[in-house]
This record gives sequence, structure tokens and C-alpha cells, in this order.
Amino acid sequence: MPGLDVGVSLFWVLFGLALGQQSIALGLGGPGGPGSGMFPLLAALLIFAGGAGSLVQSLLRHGAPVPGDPVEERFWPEPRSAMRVGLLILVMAAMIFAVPYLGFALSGAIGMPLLLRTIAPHFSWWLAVLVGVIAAACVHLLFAVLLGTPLPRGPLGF
Amino acid sequence: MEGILSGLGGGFAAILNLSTLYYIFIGSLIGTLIGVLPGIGPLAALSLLLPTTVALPPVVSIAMLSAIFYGSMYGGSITSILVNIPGEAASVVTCLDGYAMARQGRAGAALGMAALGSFIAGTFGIVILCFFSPALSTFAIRLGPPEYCGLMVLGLVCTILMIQGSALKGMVMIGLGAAFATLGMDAVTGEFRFTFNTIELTAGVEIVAVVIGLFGVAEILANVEQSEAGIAVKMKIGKLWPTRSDWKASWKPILRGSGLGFAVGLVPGGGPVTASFLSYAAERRMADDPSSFGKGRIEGVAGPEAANNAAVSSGMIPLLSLGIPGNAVTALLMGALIINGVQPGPMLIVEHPDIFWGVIASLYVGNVILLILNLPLVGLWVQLLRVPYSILFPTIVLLAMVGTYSANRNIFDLWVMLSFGVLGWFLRKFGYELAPLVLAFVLSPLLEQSLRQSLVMSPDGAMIFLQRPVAAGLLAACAVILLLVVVRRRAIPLPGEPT
Repeated sequence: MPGLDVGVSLFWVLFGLALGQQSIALGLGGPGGPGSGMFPLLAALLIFAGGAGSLVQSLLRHGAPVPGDPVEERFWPEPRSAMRVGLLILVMAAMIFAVPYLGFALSGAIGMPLLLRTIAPHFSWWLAVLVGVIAAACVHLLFAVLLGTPLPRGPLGF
Repeated sequence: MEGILSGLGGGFAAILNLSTLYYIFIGSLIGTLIGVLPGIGPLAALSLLLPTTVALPPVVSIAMLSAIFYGSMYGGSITSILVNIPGEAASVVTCLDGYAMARQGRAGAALGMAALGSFIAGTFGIVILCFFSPALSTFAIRLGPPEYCGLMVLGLVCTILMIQGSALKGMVMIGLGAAFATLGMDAVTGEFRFTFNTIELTAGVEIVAVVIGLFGVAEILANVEQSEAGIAVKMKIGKLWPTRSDWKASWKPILRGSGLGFAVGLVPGGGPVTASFLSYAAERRMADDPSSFGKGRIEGVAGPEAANNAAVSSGMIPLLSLGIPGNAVTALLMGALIINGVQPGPMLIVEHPDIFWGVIASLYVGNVILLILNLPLVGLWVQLLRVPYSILFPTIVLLAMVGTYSANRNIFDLWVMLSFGVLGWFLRKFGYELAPLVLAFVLSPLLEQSLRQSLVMSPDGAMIFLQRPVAAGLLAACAVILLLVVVRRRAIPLPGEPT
């Protein structure tokens, strides 16, 4: 993915510049000592320098990978990888969104079968639901019952 | 000497109770399990289990997390030897000769020597830790903010030297970690930094959410990209206790591995992975017939396994004595101590001797428990390889979510966790290592504080770093290391250049 790698390096250069500009706006310091922006500016300089160096390195090599740099050859290793990763992120986001309304146990019991089917489509829905409910119950027992963590509760009271 | 022994006695008194032993046992068990299962590294396991230790006393919390780390080192060798799949990165070299031994019907001897070598090296490392750490603490108490600043910069620079990939990308990761650490209210001026007018970001981002995202969620996202593949365990294990000739061949590599691993673990940025690779290279170089390595030499198992466990012990020295984590795992342990209200550093031994010596004593106990767990239960660990990942990963996702929430009881942390998970997964694809990011994230608040204190106490501004000999020496060391990085990278030719 040499083209994308160059794009990521360019992003760091721009991000470093933006962060640097915001850090200067925060104030670098005065007679009372260093200001709030001094340390973030140093961080911005590192990001900028590292990104610019990577960019120059990539351009000097005409996009050829740098030996020893473990950049993956293809962004998606398999045709279905994008769908699996996308669904996993989507289900996780939906679970996080649902937690305040349904509680952890119920969100987990609903989300787990979806995650299971995303990762292993060969699982039957019945088995996915069964495994999901058992796993959600075990996690709930560990945190809410054994460790006494007050987790958000859903309409069913757990 | 007397002080060390009485301190250690106090440490044992603090941990030798049923409750602490139970948590060390659980930590050892979970660690070995994590080590056995390929795909979930010790960092992911530690970050996922970090929230469960929040409610525990500091000694118990660190003892359990250390046991997880040790356990993963022990457990990682099992899959390396039996199925040629390293359970974690430090066991990669164990595959070479361990698997070859297993194919020759000597899996038992390889597993036994890996466990015994790890135990001997772990114990060696802890004994040296007992003597070295208090001495370093006594020295470190005399250091001021400029010296601390120099030490922390040295720690971050060493990380660049040690990373496998691009040093420039390591630099970006350090900057990014430092930038994330500045989110929220500035503790000195009270100003809000990069909060984008959101209340949730005023307190910054939680370390638990960051590490669970970067190591737990990112690991799962990387794993689900590939179709599920089953693991077949076909090897017969055979006799576990090594023979007299195995011992004769292995005792020197174990001793060398222990020494080398201990030294590498001490260096900021070093760790078990580097230690095991260096030990393997050293054994191969010293062997009468280097070409036989990779074909079932027991020295190729004994040395690296000893080295990675010794590095775990010595990695605790900079953390406990200086309050500076040398690698991502010790950064997590530091996070656990801070969450428990304990600041690691030279004052730890003075202010909390029970915690300091308790942690060291718990390492002894953890090592013994791991030896007991590893050898007789190896058959059980092998059976665990048959747990389908399709069940394991969704359960880990749920565990990650509940764990992240329980640390701070804040739904916003779950979004932080997911965001860092996606970021970590994306960065890994482009060869960006995540350890420097975490290390910088943990060290930055202390580094910023030391930097500010140094500049405030200096009438000559930044010149204070050159006026104080220790600080100047540390910064000179940083410059030398950066030079080494440049020289090492220049050795890699551009296309068309002569090799």
C-alpha cells in the first residue's frame, strides 16, 4: 500500500502543522513560566518531523517499501475482510449506543449473537443466541455480582 | 543487606495470605491461557484486565497483573513448541528449535526445558532486582526535575532504537501519545486544551480506554480480517523432565540468557521480545555447529526462554526505582499503580515499602505458581487451543466494553475505546508500532511537569539541562542513540544504490 502510506505520512505533516498552530494559540509562556501550549507544541513538532521524514523517505524510494518497515501489502487481506471489520465496528457502536437504555447485560445478549455471526457466519442463529446469552451472563456475573461494579441497568432490571 | 532481607520479609508477610495468593494464582492462570492462545498478546490481556484490578489493593493489583505478564511468557512457549505458532511475540524464536524438537518426538523435553529455564531466569532476575532496585532508588532520590526530564526523554528515545519498524514512524507515535496526554484541563494554568468545547474531554482521556482500545479492540479487528482457521495439535508430548544431556547442553544458555535478558530488560525500550531474539542470536553464534540451529537444538529453546523471563523481572527496576516504565507493559503496570493512588518512583520504597517489597515478593510466588501450573497442566493448556476464536473474540469485545466502563463509570470512555481501537488497527496496517504511543501517553504528564519545573527553577531557561552534569549526560546519551538510529537506517540502501 505505498500510495496510502504516503497519504498517511502527508496526514501527519498536516496534523502536526494544525496542532502546532493550535498550541501557539494556547500560549507558549511568559514571565510566570511555560504556558499551556509549550508541551503540545513539542508533540506537534515530533509528529510533523516524523511525518515529513516518512514522506521524504517514501518519495525518495519512489513509493517502494522501506526494508524492515512492516507495512502490509494489501489493506484488506481477503475479499470479505472489509465487511467483517465494518460490521464489527458497527455492532460495537450500536452496543455502546444502546448501553444507557438497555443496560450492559441486555445489550450484550443482543449484540453478542450479531458479533458471532459477523465473525463466523457458519454459526446457526440459535447457537449464536445461546452462546451470546451465556457469555453476556458470565460477564455480568463477573463484573456486577462478583466485583460489585454498578453497571447501567436495562428495562428488565439488570 | 539486612535492610533488603527485612524489607523482603515484610513483602512476603504482606502477600502470603489467601486473598493475595488467590489473585496471583488467577493472574498466572489467565496469563498462561493468554500466552497459549495465539492472537491475544499479553498487552491486550493486561489492558482488558486492568479495570478488574481497580478495586483491589495496590500490591494485589500489581501482583496479579505481573502474574498475567509472566504467565503469558510461560504459556507462549507451549504453542510455539507444539504447533509452530507463537502465542506471543517473545516466543517467536522458540518456534525454530522447539517445533523441530517436537517433530523429532521431543516435545516434552522442549516444554520442560522452556518452563524450567524460564523459572531459573525469572528467579535470577528477581534476586538481582531485590538488590539493584533499592540502590537505584537511593540514588534517584537525589535527582531533580532536569535529571528526571532527561531520564524520561532517554526512555522515549530508547523506544525509537528498539522498535522493529521505521524510527520516523516511532517518532510520530511518541508525538501522538504526548498530544493525546495533553487533552483536557492543564493542571498548572487551568486552561482547557483541545477539548473542542465538550465537557467529556475536560478531564482528558482515560488510560484504561486508550490501552483497551489500542491493544484489545485493535487486536480483535486485526484478527477478524482473516477467516477463522483451526489449529491442529498432533504432537505427542512425552517425558517433560529434561534428561542429563539436555541439562548439560542447556545450563550455560540459561545462564547467558538470564544475564542478557536482565540487561536488555533494564534498557528503556527493551523487553522480552528483544531479549529472546538477542539470546537466540548469541547461542547460535557461540555454537560449535551454528547450522544445526533451527533443526531441534535445545539451546535454542533454553536460552531465549530464559532471556524473555529475565527481561520481565529487570523491566520492573526502572518502574519501581525511577517511576519510568521501560516498555508498554510496565507503562500499563504504572497506570495500574497510579489508578490505585500510588506514584511509582524513588519515594515508593520510602513511602510505601509494603507495596515495593510486596510486588517483589509476589514475583517470587508467581514464578513458583507458574512452574507448578505449567508442567503438570500442559495437556489441559493444549486442549484450550481448540476453543473457537469465533466464540472467544465476541466475548473479549463484551469484556473490553464492561472493563472500560467499570474503570470510570463513564459511557464516553466506551467511545474513546472504540475510536482508539480503530486508530490502533489502522496504524498497525501501516507499520506504526503502538508501544511508543502508550509509553509517551503515560510518561507525558510527568515529563511536562518536570520540564516546566526545570524551566521555572532556571534563570537561564533551557540551559539548565546543560548546566547540570547528570541531565547533560542523559541528553548526550539521547543524542548518541539518535545518531545510532540514523547510522543503522542508513545501512539500508535506497533502490539503485550499491549494497
